[in-house]
Amino acid sequence: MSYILKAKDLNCYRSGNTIFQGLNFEIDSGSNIEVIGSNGSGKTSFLRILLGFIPDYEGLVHWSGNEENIDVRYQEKSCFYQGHQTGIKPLLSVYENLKFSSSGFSSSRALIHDSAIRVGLENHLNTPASELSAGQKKRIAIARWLLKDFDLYLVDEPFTALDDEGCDLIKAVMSELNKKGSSFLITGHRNSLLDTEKLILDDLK
Amino acid sequence: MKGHNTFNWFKLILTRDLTIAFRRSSSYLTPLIFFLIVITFFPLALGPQESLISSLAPGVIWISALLSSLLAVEGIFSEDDRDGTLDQYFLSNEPPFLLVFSKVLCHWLICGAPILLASILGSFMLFLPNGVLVPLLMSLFLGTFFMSLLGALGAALSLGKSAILSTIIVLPFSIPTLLMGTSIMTLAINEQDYSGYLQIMGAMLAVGVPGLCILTVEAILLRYE
Amino acid sequence: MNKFWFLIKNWFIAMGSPPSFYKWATTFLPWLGILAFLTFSLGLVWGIGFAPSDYKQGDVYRILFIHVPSAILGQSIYLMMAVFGFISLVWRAKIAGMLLISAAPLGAGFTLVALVTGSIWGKPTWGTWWVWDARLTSTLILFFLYAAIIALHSSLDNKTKADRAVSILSVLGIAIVPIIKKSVDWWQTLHQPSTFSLTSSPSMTADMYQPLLMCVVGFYLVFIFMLTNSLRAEIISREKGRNWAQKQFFRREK
Repeated sequence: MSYILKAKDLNCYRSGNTIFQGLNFEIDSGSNIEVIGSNGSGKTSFLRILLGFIPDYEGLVHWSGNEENIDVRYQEKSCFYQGHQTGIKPLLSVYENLKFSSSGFSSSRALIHDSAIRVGLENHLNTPASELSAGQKKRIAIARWLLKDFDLYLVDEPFTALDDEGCDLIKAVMSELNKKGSSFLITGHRNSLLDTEKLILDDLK
Repeated sequence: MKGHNTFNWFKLILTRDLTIAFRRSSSYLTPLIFFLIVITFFPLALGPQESLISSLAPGVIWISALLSSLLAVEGIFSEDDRDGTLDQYFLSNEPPFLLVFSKVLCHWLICGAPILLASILGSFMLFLPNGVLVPLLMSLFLGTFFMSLLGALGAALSLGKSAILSTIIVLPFSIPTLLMGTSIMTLAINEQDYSGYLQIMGAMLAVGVPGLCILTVEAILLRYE
Repeated sequence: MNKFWFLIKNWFIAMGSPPSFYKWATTFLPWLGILAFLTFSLGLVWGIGFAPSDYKQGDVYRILFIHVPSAILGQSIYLMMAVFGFISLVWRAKIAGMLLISAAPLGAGFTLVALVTGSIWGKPTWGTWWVWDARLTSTLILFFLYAAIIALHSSLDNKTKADRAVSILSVLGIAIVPIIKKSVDWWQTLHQPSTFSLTSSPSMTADMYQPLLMCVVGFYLVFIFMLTNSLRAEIISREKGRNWAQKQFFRREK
């Protein structure tokens, strides 16, 4: 009963095509779920429905803490969403990217420093993000997760284009945050062999 | 506590956009230079006689201000749209109206405000009659802000398309602003009372800020459907 | 009496679905066309051929029988589009959006006819092909408003999104049209204290008024005919993947 988010009998139709139907899942506090689907299987549409961006869906989506049966658009969601494009601004330094994010704006300087140290960017705090490698930019995105506690982190394709060290970092951060009671919903097009519940979208056409 | 958070969020968007804009000098220099170039073109095309240019001065300054404001709108939402920040804005449970208003304010600060200052220079270049600088600045202030509002709507409707499409959409709606602004100038030059027009422009702004911002939110949400 | 309203309400709801509108339109279109053509041509022939000459303008004024209905139609179509836009935004009725975009080129066409006939009227009466009077200028601005809607709709590939974008624009447009008219009036009086109108209508006797009325009705019927036709085409082009459309044209199930 301590679920953070649940969906029942979710159907998604776009432009007359069925993207997926009959989707059911429940995420409990402290546990993770991985959504696997090939390109075009509807991973992004799925996330968008959960977040309330797409009004055309059938079924029930319920974020805990809200009344039952209100449309997902009007429910309060305590979540952090990171899309396929991570939203790191190239003209801002690492520190500014963290400071000016929605999770970091009210964080203290010390907290931002600590997050940067955790992801290994403490020497680059004042470097503009445009001068960093793609892997380092992804680490800034990971640092954002640490700035504030959210119930649920929805991350679209976190492991794509990341080297082994980066993948290990994500897995470590995820288990740290799990211990604090947060959950992760990640998507990917390949099974990342993480020890989590799996939801395979291709099976749900 | 909720009100405090909302204002913080507004400050966050505004500071971030302004910081990025000032790092890239082209964001505030381009509209300014365009404004001055257009102003220069009129005497170049029509001949430099003072009497002719002086009679055209208010209209030319207004047209240049409108066109420069409109050309700068493309970047208002497109960058955030491309890198996913727009999604984040709609996710935070804060009113999206504030997002649009902060973008409009930012656009005005980097585009409209420099134009206001440059119009002083323009008034010398175009031999604007003496004593009408104050009504010019007041009407331009109201006018450029309304243009930023309209420009945001145009940018949101034509997200991802060419800049000139958003210009076509927005220009017909800016005709009242142009007519009223130049009427203020004509009245001021003839030393008549122009406060009525100023009040109407102010009223348009007062209705436009909530109305246009809400329509712009609708237009951005279109993108998600 | 209740049964009557019940029927009317059901008719509206039925009209709201594209397949039933399509079937209704296919049956009624020929009759509508005949009625429209008859009224339109009768009105024009009566006015241009048989109405009495004007005392001031002679026979030149007869272009009024084309100009006035076109201008009336141009403006009321914009108002209609704003209503459709509002319905489409608030109630998300697909057919309201399709009505909007089908009416737009028609409205632009009528406005263009009003501009051209106004210009033709002006040449013999005032000596110039164009003059910046309040009425012609606001008609020109109305034309630009139509053009903006058509341009925006054609630039978006997803037609449902395009409908909603254009609804926003038309709702904004109807709010700004009174302001535009008023400011053009003021602009006119400011720069030319002696107000004049290029197309001042002659004072009309009943003999002139009746054919004009018939022309207006005829133009409206022609508009409704063309709108229904255009809407039919729009429905088919958007829903051609659906079962009902496939059955209509290809006699097969999808």
